Amino acid sequence: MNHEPDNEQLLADVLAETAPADFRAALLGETLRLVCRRRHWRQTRRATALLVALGLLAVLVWQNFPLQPLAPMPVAKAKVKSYELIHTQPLSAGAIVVTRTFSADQLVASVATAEIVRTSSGNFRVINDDELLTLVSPRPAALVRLGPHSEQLVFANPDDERGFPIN
Amino acid sequence: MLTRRLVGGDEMAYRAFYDAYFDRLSRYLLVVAAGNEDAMREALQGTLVRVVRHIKVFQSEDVFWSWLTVLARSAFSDETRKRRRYFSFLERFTRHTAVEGNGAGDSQMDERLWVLLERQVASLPPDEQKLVERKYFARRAVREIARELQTTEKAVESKLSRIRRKLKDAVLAELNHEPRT
Repeated sequence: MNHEPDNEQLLADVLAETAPADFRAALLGETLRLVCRRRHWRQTRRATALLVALGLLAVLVWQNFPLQPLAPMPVAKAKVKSYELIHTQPLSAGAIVVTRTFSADQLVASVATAEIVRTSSGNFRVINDDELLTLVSPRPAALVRLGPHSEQLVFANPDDERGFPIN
Repeated sequence: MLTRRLVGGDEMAYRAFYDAYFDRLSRYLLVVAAGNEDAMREALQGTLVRVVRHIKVFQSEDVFWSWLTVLARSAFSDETRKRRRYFSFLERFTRHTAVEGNGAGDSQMDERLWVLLERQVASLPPDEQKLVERKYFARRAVREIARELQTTEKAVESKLSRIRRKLKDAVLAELNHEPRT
């Protein structure tokens, strides 16, 4: 009797006799669960390591190369000049205001046309009732006493109240 | 190639690994465990857990198998320690030495089983021996054997099962009693 690999079936069958039927399947299932768990754990570990490495790299870059201001203006770096250059441009014709001399007839000159009458204190005298009536004698008038020191000169002709020449 | 896929955690690779090595590891551990089937199963479970945890790429199948036997002996040793925690140091040392002694002949583990099996088959009664030879060495179908023996297939299957159980018990008993050096 030989035991070539072809006859391995006898040994397998003999040893499998009375063995729990589901032992192999249960062990395979358990092994696959363990494999799956380890694969997930490995993936998680790799992802974590990658994140940590990226974080460290970012910190290193940030420390060694501080961020520059975005789009720096060239003017800010220009040399400071001792003068200020101002650009001008001519105004349009509509924006210019011009003046001209008036003709003689358009000129209005102001001259003194009123005579100034000056009065001086003490240059008058108080007249009595008779002298007043004599003064207005050409015109009919009467003195009406209103009170102890109050009298009113009343002209018969109301037009005389506006004045009349005295000789 | 297989070990590279195992390292990658490929489930199909693990199925292929089971197909290729489950029975072989079982037989190996059965010899290491001196025919103790319970110890063999526990050690086998520990071995497969170790494979998942420590798998690496091997270029050669022989080297891979050697690595598997190291894992198997280590697992068996751990399981033995667990089960016999209260035994004396001397006994543990003796068992450890026995395991190491078995490990010295990794390539002869299957050979030992075969020798034991051949011996037991040879000691079977002639009719049983003939039945085994027809089924396993002449590769005859059960239906054919039943027709030759003028009996039913079920009767042949039943008889074969009894013979296999007897062979197994005898092999395990011999493994358990043979010297471990």
